[in-house]
Amino acid sequence: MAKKNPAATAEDLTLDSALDGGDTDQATKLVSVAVDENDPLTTHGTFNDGTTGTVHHGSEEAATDYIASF
Amino acid sequence: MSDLADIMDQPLRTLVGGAKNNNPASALPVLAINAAAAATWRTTAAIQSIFDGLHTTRVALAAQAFAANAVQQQRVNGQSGFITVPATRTCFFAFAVNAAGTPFVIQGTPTGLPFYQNGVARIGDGFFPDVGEELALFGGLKVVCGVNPFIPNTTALDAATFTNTFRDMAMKPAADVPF
Repeated sequence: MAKKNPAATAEDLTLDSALDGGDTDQATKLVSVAVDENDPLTTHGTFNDGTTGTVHHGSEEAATDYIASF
Repeated sequence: MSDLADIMDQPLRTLVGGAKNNNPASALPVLAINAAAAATWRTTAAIQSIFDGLHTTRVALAAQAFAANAVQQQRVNGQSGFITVPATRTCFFAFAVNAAGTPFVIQGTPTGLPFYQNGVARIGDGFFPDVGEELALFGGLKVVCGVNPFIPNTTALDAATFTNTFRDMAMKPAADVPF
């Protein structure tokens, strides 16, 4: 008879960890945002731990609004 | 005069006059992150759709959480709500409205993530999800995770280590990975 619940995988552990509120980015704080030098639709955010996040916006208007909201 | 019922091929009938976005290129809804450090989304303009030949307009939406559509989400990955996208995985989210103008978000399956659907083990493909025949697709979001997992409605859409891409859309692209 097949097992109903096969052994956990690395992905399952990652998922569990995340659902438990563990390894997320929520402890970091966005400290600056800037438009990409070569692409006006892309912005880069810098966080207090030195990491960055990137958002590709659908329009320059959206990118401008996003910068303004910071 | 001819009407939509004259198109005998159901998928073609849907493409021509079924549930679909009808925003002209000059007035796109502009799907976007709601604000810096927000886990919510918005549109800066109205969402114009067609349902069975009828025009409907939904005013611009602000500060919207990801709202699951249990029926359609079940068809995609067997879940009634969202799942966390594990670190290093890519996942698409489709944004759509129903005929009443209620917005929903359908999550695709994260690349390589095992899951069960109706008791069958499957592997996530990272493809753009289908929104079904009842919803009009108007936008998409691609989430590319770095070292952190992405939790819908919790993780900011501009969070550290993620690369997220917003696109306005008229209909589901033929490409599995359209952007």
